[in-house]
This record gives sequence, structure tokens and C-alpha cells, in this order.
Amino acid sequence: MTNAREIAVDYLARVEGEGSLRATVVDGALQDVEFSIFEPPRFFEAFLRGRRIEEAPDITARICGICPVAYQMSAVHAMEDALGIAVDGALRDLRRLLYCGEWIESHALHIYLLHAPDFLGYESAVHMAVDHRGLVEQGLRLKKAGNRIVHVLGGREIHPINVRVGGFYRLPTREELSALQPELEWALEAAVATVDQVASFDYPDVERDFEFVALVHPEEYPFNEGRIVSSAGLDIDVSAFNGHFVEEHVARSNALHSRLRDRGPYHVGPLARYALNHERLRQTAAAAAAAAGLGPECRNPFRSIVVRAVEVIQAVEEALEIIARYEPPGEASVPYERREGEGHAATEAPRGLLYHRYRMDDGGRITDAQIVPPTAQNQRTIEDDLRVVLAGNLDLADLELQWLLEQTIRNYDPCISCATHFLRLDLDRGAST
Amino acid sequence: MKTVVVGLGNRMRGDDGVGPAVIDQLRGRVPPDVHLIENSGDVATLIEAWRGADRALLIDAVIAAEEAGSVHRIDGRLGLPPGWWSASTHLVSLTEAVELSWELHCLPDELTVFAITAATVDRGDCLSPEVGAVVDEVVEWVLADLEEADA
Repeated sequence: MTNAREIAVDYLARVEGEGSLRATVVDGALQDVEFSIFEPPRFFEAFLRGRRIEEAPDITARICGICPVAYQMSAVHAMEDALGIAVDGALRDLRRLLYCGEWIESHALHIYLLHAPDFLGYESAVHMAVDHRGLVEQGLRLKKAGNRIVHVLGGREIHPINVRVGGFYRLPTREELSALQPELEWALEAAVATVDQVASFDYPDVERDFEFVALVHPEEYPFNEGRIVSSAGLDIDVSAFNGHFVEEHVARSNALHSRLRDRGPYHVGPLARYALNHERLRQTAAAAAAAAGLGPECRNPFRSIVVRAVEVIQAVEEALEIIARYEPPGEASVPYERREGEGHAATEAPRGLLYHRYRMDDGGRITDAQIVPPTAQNQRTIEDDLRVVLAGNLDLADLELQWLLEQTIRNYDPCISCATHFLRLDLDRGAST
Repeated sequence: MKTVVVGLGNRMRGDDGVGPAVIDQLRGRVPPDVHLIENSGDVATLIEAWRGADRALLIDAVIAAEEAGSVHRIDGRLGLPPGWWSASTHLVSLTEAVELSWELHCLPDELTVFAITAATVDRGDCLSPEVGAVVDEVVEWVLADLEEADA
């Protein structure tokens, strides 16, 4: 006699996109787990072919409403790699400042509206707001502080339009940036309080043997540049990405799944960045991480919310420093001449490493494009987490188990709108036969 | 009276772009004190967009079991039809944005939602013929609402 139990989440709330989870349990043992993302097949990679290289930042910004800056940054850096130009000084600072804005708004949205309800026992931020109105308002205000940076530098909050290959179309004035300062000073205090708040949550006791992968830069917590490094010894130039990472089609999903060649799943995102770069956190962020008991690395995916909160501090601190030293450069962008070539870039999107590769002809037309988003890279690791959590909690009732599994997926702040919306969960404990 | 008109949706997801398309057509045709806002679905930004407003008009695509291009005018404060926004391409649904704004005491006194039934929200930067054909009608409906309120 076999007792089969199938668990399937058909639509997952509080993730940015669509996906489904299907798990099968037979005779009390976990047989299979499938986490699927409904990704329209690589529309943007095809859409970019034949377009002018100057169009790529605005087109790729449309891939995601939450992390458009990440797509723009990886796109322009890859173009600049192919064109042989470097963007430095105040222009480089402004790009980091723009990225600070995106990290603040994206992390604040996830921490307060999407993930905190899991830990505080609420179905959603709407239900949480009934008892914790101040907490939700704090999150919205933090998010707005980040959005404001993106608006000033990017021309608008969503899908910014001021980023170009070589720099920007228009430079902000000192006054425009200085006007951001008072709210960011409030945001720094709020971000420190956020770490205290989330560090006090109760966390499931899970330790995972991840191979962390992130950009590493000798002098800074990574945004725009660095080498691709892993906790298992990988240390490569970004241009070698395809030599070490493989993207594969999986029959049940139209999102590509990534793995390290000859090794398997890996983990990108806040936990990976922190493990490989915590020594380069700024003072207040480092102090908050220590006070939260994070240590040199954190391998409990449920505590990623603490690391995200630390990264909000990091982004606010850096934003304030950049604004304080800002002197508008002479030119808004670095000039370039179109040429045939191939360029690579990886930057750190809020959800992790985002790799772009482009080929272009001598007329400045894109002939080939490859975009590898962080959620697709984490997909196998999310499945592995689900196996571990499921195997240890099969005695839970269906609703409790569904809650825990959804929370497990939300640990990754999966951006399914760029990897792609909604997760399906079917929960079928089966019947004795 | 502070009025905002919000076109909700992603221009790169087929008929989800109908809200922004209506905003395009309204530019230059509304009184200067009416704020036209395109929002690609970021609920927090949406809440901030109508926070402090007395009146909000919102145009959005919906997935509903009726003919594509059908247009409904709904009083958003009385509740939104269950399920219509569950397949939204937005990060948090419009229903949740309304409910969260209610809890945060920042829901405008008037919230009118123009809901247009989508034929497709697949990737692509074009509206379906059915939805494209009703954009002008929705524009006129919004303008009539604005005129009526100012009269």
C-alpha cells in the first residue's frame, strides 16, 4: 500500500512574478520537488537584436519594474566593455548612487511589504498594517527615499530614462543631490532600526551548504564591477562567465536554469554578497551586522532579510557619502566610436549577480544578446532549499507547510517578472491505495 | 481638489499597457492641476501617487471572463471584483493597494477605476486590436468624469 501526498502551490503571493511549486511525498518520504517559473522565452534577448546599442539601456530597463537600474547598468557596462571605454570619477559615483537608490527601494519593498508578514504571522502587508501601521509606513517611506534617488538621477522612478552608454544624458546639479540629504539621514536611522527589528524575528533553524557567488571588488562592496568569485574558490573575470556557468532548458519551465559547470547549483544575492564582501561594508552597516549576530557569513536563507536590512544601511551610507563629495564633471558622458565587438558585464542587482553579454557590428547594431538574471541562477538552489525544508517538516499540516514553503521561496525575493508572476502550489497528501 | 489620474500597467506586457496608453492620449487635454501618472505596477509608488489626493481615477487592464475590450467603471472604495486582479502583472495587486491605503488612512475620498478586459498580457509592446479599439472611448470617459467633477 502506498500513501502518496502531492504538494503544489499554484499561485504564490508576495513574490514578484509567476511561478509554481510541485512536490510529491510517497510513504512519508519526499520524492520530488519542482519549482517552476513561467518565463516567456527570452523575449528581450531576441527583441534587442538589430537595435542600436544606444537603445539597450532603455529597452532592458523594461524587463523589471523593481530593478530597472540593474538591467541598465549591466547593459551599459557590457557595451562599454565592447567599445573599450571606461567611465570613472564623478560619473562612476553617480552610477553607484543610482544603484544605491534601487537597492534601498527594492530591499525596503521586500523587507516590509513582502517578507516581514511571514515572520510576524500575517497573511499580507495589508493584514500586518492593521496592527503595525507604523512599521508599514516606515517601509514605504524608506522605499520612497530610494525611489527619490532614482527619480533625480534617472529622470523618473520607474524605468529610468537618463542612463546612456558612456554616462548620463543629463547631470544632476549639486543642489538637486543635496536636496536628497535630509531624507537620507532619516533613512539611515530607519535602516539601523530595521536591522534591530528583523534580527529579533524567530527563524527556522536551517543551515545550507551553499556555494556563494558574487562580484568581489578589492575596495568596495560590489555594485557595478569586480571579479566573479565563489566561496569554493572560483575567481574569474566577468568575460569568462560562459566558461564556468551553464544555462539549461528544463522541460517543465520556460525559464533557463543555471548551474556551475561540473559542480551544480549556486547561490547569488545578499547572502552571497555579504559572505564574500562583508569586510568592505561601511562602518554603520558593519556595526549593525555585528550587533545582529551575523558573523562573517550567514548560511540560513531565512535570515537573508537581516542581510538585506544591512545592505539598506550600506546603500544609504554610500549615497550620503557620494552626495557630500559630488562635484559635477565637465561632461555628462564619455564619447565613443562605434566598432564591431563583444562585451561582457556583471553587476549586483538587489537579488544578485546579473550578467549581460552583447555582440555588436561596426554600425552600432546589436547582433546577439545574452541576459542571465539572478532569479534564474537561484532556481535550482531554491528547489534544494525546498527539499531540505520539506523533508524536515512533513509532519506539519497542509496550510502550515504551504506557508513555510512560500516563505522559503520568498527568502530569495524572486523577481519572477524578470526571470518572469505568481506561484502555483498544489497540496495533495494523496490517498491510501 | 487634488486629482490624480493613474495609468497602471507595463507597456511591454501586451494589453497591460492600456493604462499608460490612455495617459498618453490625455496629455495636453486635462486641466493643469490634474496630475497624470504612469505606474508600471509598483504598489508602494501607487500609494504614494494618490496619498494626499482627494480624487483618483485609475485605468488598468484586468483578466476577466468576458469579451476582450470590455470596459467597466467601478467605484474603487466600494471594493473591487474578486479575482480580476489576481493575474495582474503588477508586483502587488491593485486590490491590495486599495486595502493597504485604507489601513494607512490614505485612500482618496473618490477612487474611480476604469477596468479594461485584456486579450493578452504576454510580452510585447502592442495592444491587441480589441483593447486598442477602446482606448479613445476610455479617454473620453475620463475627460467627462473630470469635467463633471469640475462643473
